[in-house]
Amino acid sequence: MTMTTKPRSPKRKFDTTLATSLVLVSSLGFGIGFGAHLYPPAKKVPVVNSLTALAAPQTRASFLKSDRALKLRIIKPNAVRVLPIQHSSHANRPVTTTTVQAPQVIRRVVRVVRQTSRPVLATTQGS
Amino acid sequence: MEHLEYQALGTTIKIDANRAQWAANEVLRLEQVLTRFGESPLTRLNRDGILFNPPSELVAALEHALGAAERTCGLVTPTVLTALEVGGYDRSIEQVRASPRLMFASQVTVPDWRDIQISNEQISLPLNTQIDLGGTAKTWIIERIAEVLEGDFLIDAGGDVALRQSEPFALEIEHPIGGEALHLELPVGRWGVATSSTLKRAWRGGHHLIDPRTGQPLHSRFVQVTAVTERATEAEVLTKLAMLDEPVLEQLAADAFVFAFDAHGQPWQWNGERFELEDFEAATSESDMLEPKSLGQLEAA
Repeated sequence: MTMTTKPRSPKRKFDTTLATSLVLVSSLGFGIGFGAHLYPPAKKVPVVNSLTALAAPQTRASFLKSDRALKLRIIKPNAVRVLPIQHSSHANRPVTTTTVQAPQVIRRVVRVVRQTSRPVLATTQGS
Repeated sequence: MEHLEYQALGTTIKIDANRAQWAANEVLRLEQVLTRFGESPLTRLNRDGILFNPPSELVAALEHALGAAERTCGLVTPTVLTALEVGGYDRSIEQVRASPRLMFASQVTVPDWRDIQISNEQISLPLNTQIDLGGTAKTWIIERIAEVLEGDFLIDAGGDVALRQSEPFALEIEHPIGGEALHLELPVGRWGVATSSTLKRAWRGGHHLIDPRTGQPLHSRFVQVTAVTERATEAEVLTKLAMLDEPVLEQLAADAFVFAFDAHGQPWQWNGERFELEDFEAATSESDMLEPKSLGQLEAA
């Protein structure tokens, strides 16, 4: 799953657009993700796509390079709250808060047992 | 909640849902479109090689099947019908079992799925290409219906199951060679479960799971595979891959739950990279399991 924050196109001689994202991982820890775009003059693609992922051990996030946007990929845990914090030069832009659902590792929530106390709803067999 | 149980799709259909009657009728309606037995748009396509103004359901089901072929590098492909028929599965499974014929006298080349042309206006098949949607249509049908149902429900199409439950539950896994049945414990949520077997829909000298690389029934160390993902359509594809090609399975099933029985009835579980012999004695306790957090729980925490 990805969350995208789109920085504005460069208008000044050497415009630096900075986007950061704070990743709060409730119940599993606390994580901070940071990413930055640096734009050269008259270019619309980032030349530097630095990324930093400061996160709790349970959290892994990475910033993906793209043409115009900073994408944050949450690898785990299952869901996180993403709060984009923008550079002061773009304070007039709306800030959106996004909840990102990442794929869960199904192997870790399903198990096989000989006996169960749960209601057995159906039988799966070769068909 | 209504409960219905009836015969369709060549198997027993069980439905527990608030709109069970509608769901049951929808299964029967879609079966009429997608069956390769009797008169249907699919049989007309296979007979003529081209079908103008195809039903939207046939277009969607075939696109799903071709998508599975693309993802699996052609290992799960709908173009196996000729190989199936040469192998003897040219009538309903009941008729095949009742009067089996000589099978696999010659080797069949399974056509390339990429040569099929499909649009809303027409579907055209390359020469000597025929389609069997049996491998993917059953789960496609139950997932299509499941998307419409609200609240808790369960649609069981002969062991391929689409469901949503608001309480933890279990499903029984039938042992393929008569051993003790096992149980899948799943948390609340929306799940798809599928099981494939080389022992069911089998007859003397063959079974219904074709290896497209050889055109013959696949040979696998496993005789039955069960997969759990969020959708039965995906789970069904993984069960085939587990029997056909474990390296390809590794690419597509990093997160999925896959469980298999070998020919000796030994249980194996997929660890994301390979199958490991299941050791029930060392199984994790209930408290070790990770329950998925809903968004509401996370936000409230």
